[in-house]
Parts: sequence; structure tokens; C-alpha cells
Amino acid sequence: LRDEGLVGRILRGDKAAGERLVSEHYPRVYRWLRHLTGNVDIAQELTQQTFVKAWQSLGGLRAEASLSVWLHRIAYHQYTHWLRDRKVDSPLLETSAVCADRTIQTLDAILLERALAQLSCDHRETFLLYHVQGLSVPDVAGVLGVPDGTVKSRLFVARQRLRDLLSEDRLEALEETTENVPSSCGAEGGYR
Amino acid sequence: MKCNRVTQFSKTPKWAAAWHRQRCAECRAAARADKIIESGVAMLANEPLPAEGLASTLAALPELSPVGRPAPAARWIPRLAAAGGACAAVAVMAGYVLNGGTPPVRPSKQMHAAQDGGQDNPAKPGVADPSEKNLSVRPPVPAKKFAPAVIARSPAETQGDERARVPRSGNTHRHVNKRPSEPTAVAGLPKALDTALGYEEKSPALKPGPTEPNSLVRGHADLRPTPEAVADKHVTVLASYGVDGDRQVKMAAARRYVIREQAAEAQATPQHLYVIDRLSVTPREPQVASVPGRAKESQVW
Repeated sequence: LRDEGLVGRILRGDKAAGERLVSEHYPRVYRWLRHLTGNVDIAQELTQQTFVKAWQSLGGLRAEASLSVWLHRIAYHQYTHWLRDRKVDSPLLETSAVCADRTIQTLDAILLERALAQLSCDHRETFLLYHVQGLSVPDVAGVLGVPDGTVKSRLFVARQRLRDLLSEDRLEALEETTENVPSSCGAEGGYR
Repeated sequence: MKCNRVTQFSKTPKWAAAWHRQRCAECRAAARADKIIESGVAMLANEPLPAEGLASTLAALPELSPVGRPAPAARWIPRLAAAGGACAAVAVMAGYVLNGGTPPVRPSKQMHAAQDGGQDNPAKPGVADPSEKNLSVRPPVPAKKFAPAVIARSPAETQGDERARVPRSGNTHRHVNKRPSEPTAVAGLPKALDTALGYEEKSPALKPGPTEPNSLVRGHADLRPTPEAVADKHVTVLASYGVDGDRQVKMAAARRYVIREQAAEAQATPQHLYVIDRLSVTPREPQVASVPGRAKESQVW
């Protein structure tokens, strides 16, 4: 209802409401794209495209749809278009410019990014949406266009695989080539 | 991580589950990995935003005006038109099927005459109705009309490979996508990579590139202030290595040693030491190349 009111105000020409929408959702959309593309500049560009696209088609937003899920869906669409154009599987290798105070947590983030890069695209996208973006299972299913059960299954498999990769005796795997990236990695069909 | 003895669905008492997690090596390893995952997720979720990102996005928006929801009538007209079109298509298809696979024929004068008993307007024998005449002389639809439009030929075809050119079974469409590695572009489908260029030629991974400063090293450089005594030792180590012959290699080894000590000082886990030891000294950029047998380029670090 809150989203609906915000959208209504934007459609009536309230610029402040438009700025509030972008300010509220920009961080999540940007981080989602940053983790998918692994590149700050590309993520920034795609985020801007996402909001421009959303701005243009705001009138078509259904009343019952969640604004956050809708924006994530548009962002995912932009990402798949970018993948198709560049013919690149998401690298996720650029070290995140994490917090200013460098701590042990920085190493954890590096390890996790390395391990996530070893997952298949489906598992990585699902894991990031659920754990990092904080979406619920139905919302993740809505963004990726898959059933709820598929999301749960992917989350379980992703967790197990990450545990396996991050165990002390399997760290060598973090340096393996990612030849297991499936050919259906995002670029094939946009909304799946 | 194969231990499934204690899961969220198991009916083990809490104290037994806790006891098992303490005793089981796999569960302990999983708990350590979970800790890294939780910590990493927290860092990723709080990653700082680019300074100018939000401002530039906001600046891009006012130039556009959000498209409002169309009026109800404007929304329903296209839907009604689409529904009408679908009904007409279904009706035509139904007529086609009921007619035994032939297109529905407009009622001719003969048919009208037969229905009327042939009295009002008897058909003249030997004079065909113009509409029937048109139908009878209509040329058969060539099978090629429904074949996929070939917009480009595979290298095998263009280079005179008879196996690719001549269909074996007489099926004229067999040459399409005959060779997975040398596909023929078909209208509506994306053309696969140009395989005329070799893997080695296209792969930027195999070309030596400039080494960028390693942010991984910087990432842990200030974990915790190093005690003075240790720092002095580090200076000595770096100096002693720095004067020797193979400077770069030994300096790298010395830096690694120092970093490792700093990490140990900060109580880094084996996983952290691994990052410092292995990942931080071999910076690698993601590389993409065409891999034979794949429909698109792949990552080949």
C-alpha cells in the first residue's frame, strides 16, 4: 500500500516522491547488480538503466506487485541483456571495495565472493537474492521466474556447495577454473 | 559436508544436537564455513555505494516523465481486439478442420442451387463458377515456403564440402545446423560464434596483460597494528631480500611472509591465510574466450 501511494504520487507529478523512490531502492538494486556483474562501473550503469526503465513504465506497475520485486526484476532483465551483448558469464572476481575499516570480515567477503564465483549462475543468483538482498522465497521466485520449490532447492544446494568450498581442506577449489558455468547462464532467455 | 544427522527436520533433542555438533568433525567444519558465509554476507550487504551513482541516476530521471496508467477504455480496446482476433483465428481453424483439411470454400451458386432444389437458379453444366475456377487452378503451396529462411551458410557449405551440401536422406532441410561446431545461421536464431578464428586467437586470457595492483593485499594490510618488535623484524627481512639478485621474486616472498605474520597476529583462520597466501599473490582478471563446442563464450580464467 505504501508503494502504491508512492507510485501514485509520482504519476501525479510529485518529484520528491520520485527522488524518494530512487533513494530508497538504489542501494539494493546497485548491490544486486554489482554482485551479479562483479564490476562497479557496469553495475552503476545498469542501475541507472534500471531506474530509467522503471520510470518509463511506472504506469504499468500492477497495484498488488511489490515495488522492490518489480525493480529487481527489471534489474535482472537489464543484467541478462548485458550478458547477451557482452557474451560474458558473470565473473564476480573484482574484489569488493568493502568497508573502510579493513578487518577479518574483509577476508570473509573475499572468500565468499571467490566461493560464489564457483557456483552456477542459477545458484549464485538465488543465493544473492535471498541472503544478501534479503528477499523472501516467493519474491526470489518472482524475480527469477521459477517456482518456490526451485528456489528452496537452489538455496539448499548453494549452501551445501559453499560449505564444501569454504572448508579448510577444499580451499584449493577456489582457484579452479569455472568450467562448470552452465550454458543457460542468464544470457539465454531474459526472464526464465 | 555429508553429515545429515542433525537437520532442521530431525527430532533430536536440542542438547543431543548440540553435543553432536561439538563432536562431529564435519559439523564443526560446516559451522566454521557458516561463520564465514554469515560474515561475508554481512559485508556484501553493506558494501559502500559509489559516491556519484545516486546523484547521476537522479539527474537522469527528471528528463523523462513517468508514463501514466492509460485510461480504462484505452486499456480494454487492445484486449478486445486481441480477443476478437483470436476468436476469428479459432473459427477459421475449426472450419479448416471440419472441412477435412481443405480451406473453407465460399458457397457457390451450385451449392445454393442444390439447397434451393435447383429450381430458382439452375446451374449450367459446363460453365464453372468463377470462384471455383480460381480455387481449382490455384497452384500448390511449395514446401519450401515453410522451410526456415537460411540467411547464411556454414563454412563447410561455402568451402565446397559436399557432405554438408548434399542431404543424405533427401530431406532438403537437413543441411541446417548440420554441424554443431560450424552452424548455419537461421532466421530467428542467434548465429553462433565465428569459429573461423581459433580459440587461441580469440582468447584474451592467453594474451599477457598488464598486472594491476592487487587490492587483495591492501584488503588485509591493516588488520591490526603490528607490534614494534615484529615490525622491526619485517623491515630486516624486507631489506635482506631486497638487496639480492632476483629481486621481484624474493620481495614477493618476503611480503607474503610479512603479510602472513600480520594475519597470524590478527588471529586469522586457515581460510584467511589461504586468501593471503594464494589469492593475493596471483591476481587474475576474469577472462572470456570462445570454447569449441559451446554456443557462447565462456569464462576461462
